[in-house]
Amino acid sequence: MSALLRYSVKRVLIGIPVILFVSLFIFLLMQMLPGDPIKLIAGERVTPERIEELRRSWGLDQPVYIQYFYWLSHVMTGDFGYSYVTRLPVSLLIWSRLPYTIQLTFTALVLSYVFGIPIGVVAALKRGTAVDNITIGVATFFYSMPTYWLGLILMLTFGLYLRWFPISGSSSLESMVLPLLTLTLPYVAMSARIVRTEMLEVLTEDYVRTAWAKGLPSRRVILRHALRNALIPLTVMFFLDLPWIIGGAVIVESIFAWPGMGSLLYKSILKQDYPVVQALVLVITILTVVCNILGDIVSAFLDPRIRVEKEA
Amino acid sequence: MKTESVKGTFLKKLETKSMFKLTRLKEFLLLLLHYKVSCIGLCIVMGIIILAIFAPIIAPKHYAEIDVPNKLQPPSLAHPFGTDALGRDIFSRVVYGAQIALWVGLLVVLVEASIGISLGIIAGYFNGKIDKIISASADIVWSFPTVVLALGVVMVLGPGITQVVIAIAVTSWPGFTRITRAKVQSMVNREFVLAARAIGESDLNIMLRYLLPNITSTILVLATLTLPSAIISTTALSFLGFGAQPPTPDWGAMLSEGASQLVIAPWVATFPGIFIVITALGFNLLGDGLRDLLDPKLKI
Repeated sequence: MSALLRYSVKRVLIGIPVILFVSLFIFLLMQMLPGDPIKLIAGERVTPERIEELRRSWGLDQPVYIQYFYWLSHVMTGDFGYSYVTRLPVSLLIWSRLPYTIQLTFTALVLSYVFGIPIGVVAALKRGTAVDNITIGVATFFYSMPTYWLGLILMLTFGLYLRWFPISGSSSLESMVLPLLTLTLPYVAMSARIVRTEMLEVLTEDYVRTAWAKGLPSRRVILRHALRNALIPLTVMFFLDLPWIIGGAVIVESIFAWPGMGSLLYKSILKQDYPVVQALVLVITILTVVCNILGDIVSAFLDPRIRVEKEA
Repeated sequence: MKTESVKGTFLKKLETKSMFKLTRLKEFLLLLLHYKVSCIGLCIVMGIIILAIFAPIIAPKHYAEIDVPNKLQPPSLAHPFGTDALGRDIFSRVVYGAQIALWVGLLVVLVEASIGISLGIIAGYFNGKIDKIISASADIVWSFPTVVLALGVVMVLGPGITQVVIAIAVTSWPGFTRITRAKVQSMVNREFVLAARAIGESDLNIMLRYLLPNITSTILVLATLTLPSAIISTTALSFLGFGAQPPTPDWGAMLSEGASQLVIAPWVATFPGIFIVITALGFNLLGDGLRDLLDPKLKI
């Protein structure tokens, strides 16, 4: 346990400079933006004196590194400044959108595992048969499908022709069906593929052969001996995938007008609402780094070999 | 491995049948065609490449030719895929789109691979501090969500296909670095590298002339499997309106034009989408097949 604890602390400590680096990168990215933010705030018809005054009151007359520390100290207290477009605090905008994105992405990830794992196990057990070939064929097909096209096709068939589900908004549970399906299907395909490869590898290991040789019932061998170990990479993938799904949600949310962080990011880029974009990119990347750290710690917890290897 | 034995028996059969010895390339192509998965993949990829090269001959019209009286026509003999809101022939635009998709996909993979492989070889060859720095930065960059960061980059540099290529390549090279590094590390203490060192070859020479040739098959598999995701990411950004600008017949941009006419003219969005899926599927199948043949233990 102590080795795990030491590893976890080390991993978290490495995470801090990474997050600082990310924040600096995003800050500099926004500094490179064309145009003067003051013009966006003040509009076109203002006197030079007013511009100077605004520049001072927004802190834009300071050197860049002071601006960075100023910005960073505010960000750490959850203050991301104000939106250029709506004049609302950015943190308020993000907080109101966050639950929707988490609702959508988390459900999608859980569902993709609920369906992906059994499909992958069956394909691995029936290796080389028609069942396996068809499963992998269908999985590769969905895996190759861009989410935005899948979204449009689902919208067209289930929303516009069959009229089973609403095609936009978030008013009812039914309006979640189509965006959820769009996000989930490619991930079902992906997790099924991963489970299949892992299972195929684990099934040839000595301890699984021993379990068969001992005459254990096949359900026990498959579930307790093989699947448990095959799932380690998938558990880690859960954390690594979360940010990717959020990235994918940018497109899905925009298509289905789902009021999450993704559609907010898209709209803010179109409207050149820089503070919102800056905050969203920062929040999503920090989320990614945190998820990575969690993924590493969980994999070390599940697989003692990693702990020892990284310790050395 | 099962694949190895199947490969072996197939090769023996080939050799007994043919009177002359096969060249390695021919042998390899025959093997690829022997397996259903890679055969389908190879056929699709060849088809798309032919479409791209002979686009001016295959396409009945130019991709930017506007014909407003014939706008939003459903698929017919004159327009096999119908026409869009400006009366442009969608079939011609899809055919020309193959050029854009392949070109952009290749460019992304090329940039990504050259950054990723060189860093990977350096990290694997020099252990210690350099390895740690490179691995740590690869981990950091790998954790950036590509589409989100690409959106940030595009906002700074403005929309355009070059910006998209840069943004995506810059955030996804660690895939190559990780695998190259692992491969090089497993080779760095083998006899042929030690021998090279003993006869006084320079580090650069060892990396380029001894190590690089030994990882080409892995790189080939990796590049083939990276291409479809590169195409999907670039078309996704074009779909959002930040990539290729009109009248470029980019499949993603065509899809987003069609999205607004989904009810009255579903064919405008359907056909470019089908081609993105087919292309990605083709490269994925080919990549899977190549992996089974060249490097069955590789995990991507």
